[in-house]
Amino acid sequence: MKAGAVLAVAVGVGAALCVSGCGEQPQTATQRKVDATAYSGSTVSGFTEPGWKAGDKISWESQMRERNKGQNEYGR
Amino acid sequence: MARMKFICDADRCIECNGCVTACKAEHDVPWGVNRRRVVTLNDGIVGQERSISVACMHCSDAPCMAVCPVDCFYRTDDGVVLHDKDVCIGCGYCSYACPFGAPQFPTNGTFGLRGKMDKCTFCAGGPEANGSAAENEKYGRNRLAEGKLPVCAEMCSTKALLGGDGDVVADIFRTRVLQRGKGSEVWGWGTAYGKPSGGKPAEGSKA
Repeated sequence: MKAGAVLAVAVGVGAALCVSGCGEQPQTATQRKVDATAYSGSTVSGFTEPGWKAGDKISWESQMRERNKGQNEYGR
Repeated sequence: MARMKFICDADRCIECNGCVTACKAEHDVPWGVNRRRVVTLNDGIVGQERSISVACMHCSDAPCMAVCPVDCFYRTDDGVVLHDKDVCIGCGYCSYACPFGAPQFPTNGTFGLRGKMDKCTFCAGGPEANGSAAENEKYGRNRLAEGKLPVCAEMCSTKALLGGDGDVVADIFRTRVLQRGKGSEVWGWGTAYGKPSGGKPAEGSKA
């Protein structure tokens, strides 16, 4: 009876050691993720500039152009 | 279609390092890594000393992309060169290939362990969801998705550093040069975005 319990514990420990490798994170290089476009907008609405519509490419490009012109002091 | 580019006007840069500080603060860039740096040209030569602010120029034909063995780089629709830190193995090939010394590697681990590459993102974040905590932690703020331009250019006190749509910033610079009648040289522009002659030597020049 006692020998059976010891054997069962030994088998259990052995099995646990065998499968311990399954918990490791994969370290192989994965394929890079697909990035969302800038004009699709940010999840942080509090920091988003007003005056353009998220998801509207034309609106975003126009916003960028206007913002860009702020760097030209000759045009102020 | 916007094609994002940087121009640094060497006639205007006063070497205040405001762009460097703004970048570090905006993105919580770790100690030892500078995504942007101010470099002095012709140091000590009277009348010829100039300063320029240098970071990743988001090249049209980026050498870092060409040499990366794990293909972690990608270019957005707006011409911004970004990379995926989950794929980067920190080999350092990109830092040897880059003519601007843009790729940086944090070395604060045990035994000087070299971490994942870090570089200027044109304030466009990374491949994680725009504005997400994961993106912020790995790449910093995503200002483009917020309808803003890179913080370094927007806060430059003398407007020496211009960043944004290539056509617009080139127009701004052209206006300046016409007004002041000098200082038309743009350091790094040809290297990053190609020469106006398409790589062919100018007429009368020696090849």
